[in-house]
Amino acid sequence: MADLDELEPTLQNIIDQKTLRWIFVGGKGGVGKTTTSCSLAIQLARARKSVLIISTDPAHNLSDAFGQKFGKEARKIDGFDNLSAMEIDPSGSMQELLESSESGQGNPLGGMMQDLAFSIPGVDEAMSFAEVLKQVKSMSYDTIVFDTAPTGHTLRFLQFPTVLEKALGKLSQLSGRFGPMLNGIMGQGLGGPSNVDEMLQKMESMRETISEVNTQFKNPDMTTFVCVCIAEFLSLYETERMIQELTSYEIDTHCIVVNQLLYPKKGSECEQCNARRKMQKKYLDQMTELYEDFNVVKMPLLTEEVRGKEKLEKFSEMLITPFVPPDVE
Amino acid sequence: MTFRQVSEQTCVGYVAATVAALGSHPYPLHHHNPQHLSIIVATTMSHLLITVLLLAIGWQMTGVLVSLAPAIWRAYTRIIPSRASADAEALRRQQTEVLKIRKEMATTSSQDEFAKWAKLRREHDKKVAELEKLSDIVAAHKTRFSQAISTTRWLLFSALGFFIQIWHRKEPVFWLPSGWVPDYVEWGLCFPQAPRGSVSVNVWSACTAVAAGLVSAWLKPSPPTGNRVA
Repeated sequence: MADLDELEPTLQNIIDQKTLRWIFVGGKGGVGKTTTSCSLAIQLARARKSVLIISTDPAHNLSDAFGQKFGKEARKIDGFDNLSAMEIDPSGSMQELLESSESGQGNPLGGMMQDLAFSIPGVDEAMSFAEVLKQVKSMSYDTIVFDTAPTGHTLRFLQFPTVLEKALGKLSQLSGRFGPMLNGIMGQGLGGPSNVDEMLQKMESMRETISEVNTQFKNPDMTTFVCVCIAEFLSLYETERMIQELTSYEIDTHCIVVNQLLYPKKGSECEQCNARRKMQKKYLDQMTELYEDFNVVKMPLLTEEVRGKEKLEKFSEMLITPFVPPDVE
Repeated sequence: MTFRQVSEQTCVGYVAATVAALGSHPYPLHHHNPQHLSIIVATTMSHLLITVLLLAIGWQMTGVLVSLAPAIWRAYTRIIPSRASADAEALRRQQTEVLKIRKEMATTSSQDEFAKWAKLRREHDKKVAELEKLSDIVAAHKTRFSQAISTTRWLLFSALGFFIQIWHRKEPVFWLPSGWVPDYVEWGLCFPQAPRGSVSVNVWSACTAVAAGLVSAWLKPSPPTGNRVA
């Protein structure tokens, strides 16, 4: 029987894998990333001591999903005692960093930071991301679920550690040589004498964080990426691309959640539903063939929006216990 | 007049002088050397004359080799078994495979047979990555190969020519009949160290080089002149 070869169509394996610390949930916009990540976090919260869900999507949806306002600080979600959430704006904290360094009058490094931020695309996001990771690391959460921004951003985030680690490594190497000299020059004329040291120290600690996080991200025991998609060509195409890229970054991924599946009742006369079902089935069959070594979770399209604690909890059940469609064609 | 034109004209003068000298008498009634030495000198002289001329012609003729290096490289990798040939062969095979996969991808509908298409694409991406690595290796081989050709050519003709010029700098290549050319021209023709009244190997080398260059330029199809419309 072919079915024996297929992996279980649930996310139970993620719940069971207690060593997992970082779980990324990503996919194209509008495929149900937030719903999936919230549901996954709810299920995880039942099995772990404490779970944090972070949204890096500039269009923050966590607040919408739970009907509660979240900010840059982690906050408990109403109705859960071990589930917290926070929303960060990836481009925001670098902005603050720049502004703060600018306000210190005559600081030459403020200008340098600005140049740096513009010369390497995405470095601002990376640095703020590193800042967030540092914060998160100091907090004692068992598992952290990332509700990431749509595909492109996600991949850039994950690429950063490698790029930034290299760049910062070079920089701190240089500073070891020229730091004293720089200090001598700048300490006299401009800014305070401690400026350069302080800056380099900050960068060095950031580099350490990043390199540590990097090794953790590449460890399949600690990190996994859950791909969310819908059974449509473009979404599938993006998912395939994402999986290939993740593989090239050595980030583990073995779960795919297919959202918004239609299961019209037998004898249904809804023309659109039947046509859609047929199309979705085509892509589902293709996925079964292509992703035989993945846990492919099939989630039905509901008649209502999945918002609020109760609905999310109900929805999250289906991540664990496969949804059995009623009589379908 | 451009520098090239000037130099060509001067050199044509030189060549004319030497050709005239050659035609007049290879072993003229020289005014400086005793008769009994002339036989010995004459053998060396004619060797020197021919060798230098051959070097100049050889240098020009092998210039074609350098411009044909890619073609020679292709022939070399197909005929002579070596590490480079094996790599080049692997590259060719890889290219064919990538093209085959591309063709197959083009005939596979990504919408109707996504699984098949995606698998093809994975294979394609993998093969292209390998191809890039291979082509870097082969390009390195190729550069080394054309460098080897240039170096050999240089050693065989230029370096040998320099060596001959230095080694035989004091020997006459041939004698000019006395009184043929004014004193100061005589001085120029024996420059730097050949006996007065003879043509030095250095001057002879320069003349043959220019003559061979002119002849080869004349034989070569002239490149299109004027501004081409882009």
